[in-house]
Amino acid sequence: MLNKSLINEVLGAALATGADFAEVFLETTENRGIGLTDNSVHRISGDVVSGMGLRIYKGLRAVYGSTGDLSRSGVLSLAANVAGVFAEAPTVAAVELVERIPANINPVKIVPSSIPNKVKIDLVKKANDAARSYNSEISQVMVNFMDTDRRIWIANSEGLYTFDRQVRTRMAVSATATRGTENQSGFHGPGMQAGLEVFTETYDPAEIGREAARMAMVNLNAGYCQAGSYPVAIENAFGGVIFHEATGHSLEATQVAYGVSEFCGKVGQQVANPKVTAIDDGTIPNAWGSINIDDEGRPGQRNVLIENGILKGYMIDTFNARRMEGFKPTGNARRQNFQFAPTSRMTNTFIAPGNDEDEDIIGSIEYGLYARKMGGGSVNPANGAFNFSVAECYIVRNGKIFEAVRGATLIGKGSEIIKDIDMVGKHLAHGTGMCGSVSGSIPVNVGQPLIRVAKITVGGR
Amino acid sequence: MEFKQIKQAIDEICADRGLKDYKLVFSRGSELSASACGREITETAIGVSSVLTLTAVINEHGGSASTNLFDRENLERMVDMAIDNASHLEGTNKCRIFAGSPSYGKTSNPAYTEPAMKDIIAKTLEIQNQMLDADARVQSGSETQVGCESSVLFLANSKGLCLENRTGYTMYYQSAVVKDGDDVKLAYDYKVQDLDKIKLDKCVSEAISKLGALPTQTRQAPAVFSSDCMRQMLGAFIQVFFGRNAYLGLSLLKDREGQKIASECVNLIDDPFEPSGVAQIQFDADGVATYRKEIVKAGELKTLLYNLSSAEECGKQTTGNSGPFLGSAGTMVFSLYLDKGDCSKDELYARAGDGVYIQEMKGLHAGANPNSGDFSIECAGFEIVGGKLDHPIKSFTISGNFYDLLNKVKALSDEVEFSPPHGFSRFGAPEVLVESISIGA
Repeated sequence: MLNKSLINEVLGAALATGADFAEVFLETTENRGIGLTDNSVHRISGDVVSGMGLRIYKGLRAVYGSTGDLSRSGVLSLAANVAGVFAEAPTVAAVELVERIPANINPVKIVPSSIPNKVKIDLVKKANDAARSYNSEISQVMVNFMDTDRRIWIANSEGLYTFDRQVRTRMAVSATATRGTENQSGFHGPGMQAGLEVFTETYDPAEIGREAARMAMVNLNAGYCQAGSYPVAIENAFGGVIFHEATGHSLEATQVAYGVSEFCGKVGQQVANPKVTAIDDGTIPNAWGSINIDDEGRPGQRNVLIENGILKGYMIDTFNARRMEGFKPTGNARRQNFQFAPTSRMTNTFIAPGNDEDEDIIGSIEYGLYARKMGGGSVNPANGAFNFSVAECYIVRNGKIFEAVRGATLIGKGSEIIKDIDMVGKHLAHGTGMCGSVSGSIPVNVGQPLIRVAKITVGGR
Repeated sequence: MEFKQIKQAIDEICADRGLKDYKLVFSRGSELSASACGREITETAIGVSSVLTLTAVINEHGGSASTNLFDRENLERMVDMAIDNASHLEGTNKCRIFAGSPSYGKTSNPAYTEPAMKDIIAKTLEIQNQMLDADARVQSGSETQVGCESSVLFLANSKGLCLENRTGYTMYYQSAVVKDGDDVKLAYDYKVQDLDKIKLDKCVSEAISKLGALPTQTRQAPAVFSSDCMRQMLGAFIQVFFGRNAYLGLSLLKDREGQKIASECVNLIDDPFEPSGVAQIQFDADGVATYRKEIVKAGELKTLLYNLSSAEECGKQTTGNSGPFLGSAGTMVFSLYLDKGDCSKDELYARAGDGVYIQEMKGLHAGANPNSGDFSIECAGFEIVGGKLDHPIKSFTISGNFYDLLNKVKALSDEVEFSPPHGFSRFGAPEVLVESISIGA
């Protein structure tokens, strides 16, 4: 990558026209993927991308530039183009860079990019074979194995110079169950910020395959969910997508700094049921969404967003902090790669454990739903309207779980739904996901214990 | 580095490694954009990027590797990675290096010169001010963005084929947030338009029209999909028309070519040369000539979509739909659209009688399952009462099955609107009346 002296030169050139801050982000990332379908490994791909993102601020205005040309002329040309948006005399000079080594909370035992394809293919086939043998009605299985080795260097005009290496490994299985002319599917896709040991020590690929197949069979045997408004118990782990979509996005400075969030100006106010404490924690060792440093070079943090229903704070990046008087960056600046400017994003976001027993939560529902597995969702942070799909769902009658139903979507308004979370269980678990927003697609965990939402609109037939 | 030099280096490395069959795709692009909120420019962006993908064929299987590092050492590493990737592949889908089609169509992509950044910034501010001046209820967090992108794509292979395509266009994004008391609504416009023709679009009036929404009722009712919503629906389910998905049992259209799968008024077309397109392309990712094709004609499935590999696997001819161009190729569409009907929009509402107008849909990435065809999606829109658009309605859900939906189409409006291109793909649709759909509220 660039040496320190050239980085200094780039920062100087970027500040030449009046910007008050400049930041260089350098990245080299190696992505590898293996795809299996129809019992055959049909796709193996790999890519190495490298480049620089350069950002300058002048007050409340930012300019961002990116290039894959890391030659001296390439990076200085970008600096000139970025600086060219302003046309004033310099106001600050870059401070001498002082190297900072972040603590590593995400140790890696087996670096996946150094392991031959054959070893990974064997793991992929274990998952496939287990899914296939789960039931004769499993008609198709797709397995995707992916590993990423991301090296980033961040330097800025305030003297920061730091580095991180982020290794992530994930396996995702999609199983299809077929009966006559009907297909139904199941999915399971755990991942961690760790090496190949994720699938040799932590997760058994066969279990991943079986879980996807189990879900597909449940859905094949399920009837359709009836539309209406019911109490819903949402299971732990990926169930936490309800908080991610319904509230999390609306607590990102991307929305809050511009007044486009239903939670603007509400810090210190009761915004959720007192049973709800919600946290964004980038410091969980080896978790999929964890970060040693964020993409502005700040150490990852554990940020309590809501405590006993009271809004405590937001997730904030450096640029948006300038618009939010009284608030500081929270170590949440993230981006897909050097082609995106970073902004406030979630890391590992979850509802903290409560005091309710799981059986009491289910037992409290006279007629409603038990959402065992959630799909993805989305939100409009301006008014909080959110949706998310239920991937595995059951009817609850008189406090007991009965038949499976499919095709349920839950919709509502974020600020209302977090008031309706009136029971929170004790068993926290996390689920793996990818989150798409203005700075691209990034790895995040969602999580929660079993919770009850007193009433929510359910889409179905 | 220019593509010619890169290709020469790759040819040398491949010869050195004994690799005889390979394909190269190289893309170079640039982007400029400006964003504004609260009457101020908040961010400007400048991006230049290049990517090279090599597909190496070993034992009839194609493994790929990509890089944006074009020095000799990294190119050698990429070739070795592609060869290693290919050597582990299995199965019936074969990778063929294509010598070229007898002829290629002619694109009419306009010659494009990127506007100057100062002009982009000026236009962004002009629209931002117009938006905030349009109505007192428009919030300062409303956003305007103007951007342009241009790219050149080269495809070459070991059989001497060398093809090139250039595109470039300017786009705008306008997102209006309006507030009346506690009622907050949002609408957006996102379109391709020459810089000097960009003006404030309909997002402000549309957002205001959503204020004061009332709840609707859970029921079965006729529905009219806006063009935007029908385009999203096509995008979410397009893979059911991919030949390889059908072959693998991941689409219910396996062996249905020649059969009726939709109402007679449904015509589905993929046309890489659709006249309004600004990202037309004359070849697919195999290097095969692209062409206009009817996928569904008068409700009958005429063909699924194939690349060279899936066509061979399924005993069919390629339809020139290999893609994407970078990374591992599968199947892609170009200008894919549901053809227009003969009703005015008002006639559609009149035929619906009492029902809903679906103006906005969200969450298709999770609420639509191409494997089963099932969907369950959050919507916003208007009540249709007595054959006319009436009041706005609060968030509701629609649920159904894409295959059923195709058979429930009763009529289509007489104008097709297209989404902006994403790469070389875009979707088009008129407004569509559907006989009935499950509504949840």
